[in-house]
Order: sequence, then C-alpha cells, then structure tokens
Amino acid sequence: MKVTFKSWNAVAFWRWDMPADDVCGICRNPYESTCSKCKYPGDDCPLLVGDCNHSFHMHCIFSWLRQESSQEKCPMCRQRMSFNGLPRCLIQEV
Amino acid sequence: MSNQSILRITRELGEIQRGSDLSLAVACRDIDVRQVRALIIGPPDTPYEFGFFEFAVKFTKEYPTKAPSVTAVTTNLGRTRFNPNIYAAGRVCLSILGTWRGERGEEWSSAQGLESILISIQSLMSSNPYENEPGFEDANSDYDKKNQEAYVAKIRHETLRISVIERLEDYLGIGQERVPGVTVHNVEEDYKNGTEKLFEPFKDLCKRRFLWYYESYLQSIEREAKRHKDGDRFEKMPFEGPGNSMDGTFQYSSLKERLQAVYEKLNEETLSWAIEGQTTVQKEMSIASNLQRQFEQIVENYKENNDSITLDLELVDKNPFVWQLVIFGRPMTNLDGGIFRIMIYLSPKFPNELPRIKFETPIFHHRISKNGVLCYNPTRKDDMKSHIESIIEAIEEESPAYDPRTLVNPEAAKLFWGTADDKKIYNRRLRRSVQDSADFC
Ligand SMILES: [Zn+2]
Ligand SMILES: [Zn+2]
Ligand SMILES: [Zn+2]
Repeated sequence: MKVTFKSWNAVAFWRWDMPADDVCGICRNPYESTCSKCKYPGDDCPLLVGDCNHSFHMHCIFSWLRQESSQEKCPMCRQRMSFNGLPRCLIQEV
Repeated sequence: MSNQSILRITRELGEIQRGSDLSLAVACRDIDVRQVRALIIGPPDTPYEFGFFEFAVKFTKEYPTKAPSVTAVTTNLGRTRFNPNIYAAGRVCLSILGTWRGERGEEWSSAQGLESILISIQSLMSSNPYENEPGFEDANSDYDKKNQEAYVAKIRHETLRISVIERLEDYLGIGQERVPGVTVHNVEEDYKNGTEKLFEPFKDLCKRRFLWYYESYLQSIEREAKRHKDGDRFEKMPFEGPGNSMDGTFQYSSLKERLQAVYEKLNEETLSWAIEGQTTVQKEMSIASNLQRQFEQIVENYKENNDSITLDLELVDKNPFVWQLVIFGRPMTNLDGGIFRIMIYLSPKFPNELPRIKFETPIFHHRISKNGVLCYNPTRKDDMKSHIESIIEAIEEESPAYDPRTLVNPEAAKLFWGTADDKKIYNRRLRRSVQDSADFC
C-alpha cells in the first residue's frame, strides 16, 4: 500500500528549563504559562534570570523595576537586580 | 492592565481558602475581589489567644507592585487599641505595608502577598506586645516589667470581651441595647451603603471556633478572675495617648456569665436547625432533598465497602437535618472495642453553615471537648461524605502534626503533647473511656 501525504501539521512541545511546578514570584502564574498580561507563552513572554538566580516573567520584573520604590532590587532577595552583570537600564525591553 | 491584580488576588484568596492553616481566613464580596476581609485567630500562649481579629484589606490596580492598605476593624467602634502597632482608629503600623519605619529588607516588594501580610500582623500579636513599641524593645526595668504584665492582663480581658464575646453576642442577637456591629468598624464600604447589610463572612466560622475553644475561654476567665478584681481599672501604658489607648475595668464575673450565655444560645441554635429543617422538608425545598440524597448515598457506599470501618448511620425521626452516626472502634487501635454515638446537626443553610458534631458518648480525646464538641476540618465542605471521613480521621489519627489551634480539650491536649509519661497517661485515660463507651450505649 502506498500512502501519500497531502499535508501535515508540525506539533512541537517546549518548556522552560525550570521545575514545572515553579511559579513566578510576582504574578504567581507558573513559568510555563504567561504573565497575566500576555496570551501566548514562549518568546512573547520570556523569562529573565537575575544574577541572584531568581527568575521572573520579563514583563513582571520590568513592571516592578520601573517603580521607584523598587530601588532596582530583586523582589525575592532584595539584592540589586542585574542580568549578566548588567543593570536593567542596559537591557532592552522587548 | 487591571486584570493582572485581580488574577493574582483571586489566586491568593483561593490558595489561602484551600489551605489547612487554621489561624487565618479570608473572604471577599463577589462584586469586588479587591475588597478583602481577613480574620486572624489570636495565637495560642499570647493574650490574644483564640480571639477573632478582623481586618479590611484594600488592593489597588497597581497590586502587587504597590502594597494593599490594611485597616483593623476589631476596634470596639474605634475605641480600643489592641496593640502598640494596631491603633484604635484602625491603622496597622507595619514595615511591609510602608506604614512603619522598617528594617532593610522588610519593605514591600511584588513578591510579597496577602498571606505574608497576615503572618506579619500575627507576629505583632505576641506574648509580650509591650516590646513592639519603639524605645521599649529592651525595656527591662522593674517599672517596665510591671507594665508588661499589666498590658498583657488588659489585652487578655479585652480579647475575650470584645473580639470573642461581643462578636458572638452580635451574631446571636444577645444584648441588643448595644449598637450592633460593635466589633466591625472603620470599613468604608459599609459606611457608604449604610442601609445595606454588613458584610459578615466569618459568622459561621467564629461560631464553630467558639464551640471549639469554649473550655479554653472559660479556664482563662476563671484563672484571671483570681488575679483581677471586678472594677479594677486598666493601667495606662506610657505609649498610650488620648483616643488611642485601651481603657476600661476588669469585669471577669460578668464575662463568665456572658460567655456561658453565648454557649447556651449557640446550642439552642443548633437544636433549632432540626425544626427549621423539617419545615424545608414539608416545603419540598432543594436543601432537604439534597441532604436526603447525600445521606442515602453514604449509607449505600459504606454498605458496599464492608472492609472499611464499621459504622451505622441513621436519620433521627426521618429528619435529613439530624443524623446519628455510630462508630465501632477499629480493631488493633486505641479505639478497639469502643462504640461511639455521635450526633450530626445540619443547618438549612448548609454548606454556608457547616454541620455541628456532638459526641453523645463521653470520651477522653484531645480532639473532643468535655462537652462532646469535635474539632475536625472537612476537605470538601459541601460534601457530607467528606465530613464523615474527616470525623473518622480526626478521632483515629494517632500521630497528627502539632497544631495548637485544634486545642478543644486543654486537659487531654496537655497530656497528648506532653512528655512520654504524659502520653502514657493520655493513652490510659483514652483506653478507659473507650472501654466504658460500650456500657454507655
Ligand atoms: Zn510573572
Ligand atoms: Zn508577559
Ligand atoms: Zn533575587
């Protein structure tokens, strides 16, 4: 028997390299899903890992750091927030 | 944008409500999740022990970037300051809320939440709250020591009088010459709609807990009455100012009478459910058929699984609002050979009002009060099968996690959680009451 594919749909599965049950400390949504502002997980709503090793949805951590009262500190451990040694002002917001 | 805060609050409320922490409760009106009420049960071994302290928590659209505002509403109509940091006018001074000069690292951050706020408030309610006041942290002179004791003594009195007794009197309509709502004050939304009914989400919870802690309240009153004569004035603390203090006199004799009156009224209420329930049966209301159906399913279920515990479940006078449960102690356990008759009273407002459980058979058990009130916590509140499972679990568990909020029988609990010898005495007394139970039935 000969089968001819007329069309096909690719199905892929991805996940962040994080424990599945972990949640973002700010929105309390799982890393796997989006922050509360976004619809689609993945590149539209990336995760950022700070040098202190705490990670958040990018949108969540930026809305915190934009506040003056945050003093640019990590909301979990309150160390100055930096990413690969760079303070957040040098990181471009998507 | 505004959605974000609502999503997070809803998630937090759900987590606290599903959790097993017996020291906190939260609720919101359906129309507005940003207006939250929280109840803190006063921590054991403090003057706030088993008091009911209510707070109004208001979230803005900027939550969790910005902290919510918190107002104490258990303030005796704005007249009583329960703590150096909890003012009579309702202000709660806490570094996490930004209302208190804080240590570094104690300020608000978006990783904080409702639960961490409530736990911080709980930690203000300590065994020596005098130290909370700045400048008094290490105060240790004889003058301070005397003050510390006097402060604890009046807080204990007012906790019992205002947060427990007056709250319950309000709920039960006792002493109506007083202004109603005396325990709930300062809540803006209640002012606005003065005609609307007060939002009282913790009514049933406080009634159930009152029944749990009744013996502790009574013991505490009897002990304190020996130390403080009726009519003695409360001492004024150096940090208390005009309009922001805790003034009054000790009145333990009258508190004891009022406490007992509340207890009796609550028992009357429990018994009145049976009669109200019968009416709903006659009117063929859905609550009656719902309970009847749940009863039949449970009986059927236990008949089929005859390998599980032996029990007998009946309706009293065919009334689906009064169940009689007889449990036969499981062989090879502490309850072996015992027969326990337990009444389950159901409210026509079930499951908004939860069932009240009473052991008719006397038993010496750390989860059962001298008056037969069982302390148990059902996992699914609307499901009677879950209630019965939790009842059995509560009396059978042999090594539960320590939780001082399950203290319903102070005498038994002291032995149960005491030294190895105490535990032996506990087991002996439990076994003796189990043996006697067979004769009782
Ligand atoms: Zn997030
Ligand atoms: Zn996002
Ligand atoms: Zn961090």
